[in-house]
Amino acid sequence: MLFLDEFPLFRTDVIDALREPLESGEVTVSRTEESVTLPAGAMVVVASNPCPCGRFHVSPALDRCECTEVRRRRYRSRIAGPVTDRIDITRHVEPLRRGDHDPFTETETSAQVRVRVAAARERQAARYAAERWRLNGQATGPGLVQRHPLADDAARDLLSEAVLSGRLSNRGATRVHRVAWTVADLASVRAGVDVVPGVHEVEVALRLRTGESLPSAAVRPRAGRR
Amino acid sequence: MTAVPPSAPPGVGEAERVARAALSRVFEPGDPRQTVLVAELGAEALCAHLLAEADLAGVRTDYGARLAATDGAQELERAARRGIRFVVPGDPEWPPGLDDLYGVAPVQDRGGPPVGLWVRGPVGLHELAGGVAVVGSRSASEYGAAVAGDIAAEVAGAGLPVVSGAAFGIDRAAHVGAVNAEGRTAAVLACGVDRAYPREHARLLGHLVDHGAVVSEAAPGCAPQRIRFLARNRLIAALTGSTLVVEAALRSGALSTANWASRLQRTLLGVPGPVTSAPSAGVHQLIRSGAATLVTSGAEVLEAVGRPGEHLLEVPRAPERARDRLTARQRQVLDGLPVHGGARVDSIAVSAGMGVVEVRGSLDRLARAGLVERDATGWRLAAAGRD
Repeated sequence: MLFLDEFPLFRTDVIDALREPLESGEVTVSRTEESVTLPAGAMVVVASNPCPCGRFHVSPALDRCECTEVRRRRYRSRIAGPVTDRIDITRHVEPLRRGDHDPFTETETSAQVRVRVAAARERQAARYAAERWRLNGQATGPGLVQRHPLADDAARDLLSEAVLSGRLSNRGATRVHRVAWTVADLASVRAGVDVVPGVHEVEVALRLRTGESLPSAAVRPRAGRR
Repeated sequence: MTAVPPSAPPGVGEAERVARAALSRVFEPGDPRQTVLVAELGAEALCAHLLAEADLAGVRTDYGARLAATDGAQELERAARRGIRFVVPGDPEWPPGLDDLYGVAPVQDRGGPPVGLWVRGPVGLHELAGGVAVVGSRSASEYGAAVAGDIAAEVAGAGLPVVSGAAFGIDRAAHVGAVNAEGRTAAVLACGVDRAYPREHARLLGHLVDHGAVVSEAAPGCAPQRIRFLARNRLIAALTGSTLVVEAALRSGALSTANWASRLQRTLLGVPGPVTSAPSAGVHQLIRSGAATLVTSGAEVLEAVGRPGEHLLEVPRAPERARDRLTARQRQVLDGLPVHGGARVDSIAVSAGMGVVEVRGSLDRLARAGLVERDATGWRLAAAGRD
């Protein structure tokens, strides 16, 4: 796991160097006559403030930012680029609101989440037993499309529509396909039945990628259902 | 305008209450054949008619027969033992707003004032009249749930009760927001008030029974059949003074509540969402057609539902900058200064398109305001002047 806090403050060459390991899970270091390829498969998490001073908010009521528009734009331009095209999940973390605390729902502990995640990973290992990869995040685009396709035409259309409209690169489509499988695997664990990613899972995966708001049922497990 | 039923019972006779309890058990909630007749004749008279026809063949005998087998007094006693009260017209707790339903035509064969409402919890029905109904999609987005919770917290925190339907999504967020703000909140159910539906909300409903109110037109024990939600929606609109819709897909139950609110002349408010978001499409339609007023915060809801002059809002505006206090011609001079380095007065006058004398005077004033500085090369922008 690699966590880069204040991502836009990293040097450009450092940011660009992440491209290869993010794509292939390996890193190749070349010196004059030799080159060596090393494994570099990590879960990469980057964090960023909304602006250099950190006090920007889209709501005028909460905005306390003192940065100029130019500074803000320059700061944000470092987040959007070839590296972030390789990032599967974007989330905007808001300050806690009064409606967020739900005294009637038991919050899942990290240990409970871990059990679900481990079970989802086992499902993946079983599904990909005949493949060269074990996890959704390692699956190849053609492999997914040919042997682990989405559930139906509606789901496929949703994905190709996002590509055709220019909202998603082809690389992004593969990544959304992978995340849709992860959403389906977690749903399978929770429901105890096999879920193949369909329209709902692709929709959630697309929203996870763009940072848009999710269906609340996809975020918070309903109390009493485990 | 409020239509008053011609023979609304002035006080509550015990016999009338018993008759209403029996009718509530026998008829479907909101069946207009019952609600309107009871509003016009009173329950005792209607029961007498139905019982008299119990021996005849045909549809009406069905009700008559079932009514004959129902003991209203026993219904009331059994309910009371379980902490359930039956509120009928003439009770101090009866909200006059429910009588407004008498003047409104049924929708999908559901309408009219309820014959009575079964209630659990310390909050009285009459307290809900100044409250806000917060309704919306069961499959809400994170955004919708967060906004509903926030607004409910602010509204309830300001002392107004929040009424909703205890469903998943927006309903739940609204109740929870009000609870977090330690405000009053009431749930109007489609099933009996002794049933936890949805099952997952048993703890929430338990809290409302202890600290808020759980209300239903359906007699205790009744199941949440689909048609009962249509009848329930009209009550949510009628019990409160205003209805707020946060995320409602086209053709959703929340829109049915909104429709009732409009027809009952209640204030109808809507929270917008992204135009690409399906759960917001119904709200956008309400706003676009002029049926609902757009609101974006609890403060705006309070202003919209308050009496004239109450909860007035200041119009949000961007923070004032030094530049905003200048006259247009002073701003013209400021814009005449180069971005980098200094410039002499005559060169500034040329780029500003103004006379040298006026520019010199303006520069002195701008310097006092801290927007420009003078040095060896002439005048230059100060840090405050670059904003």
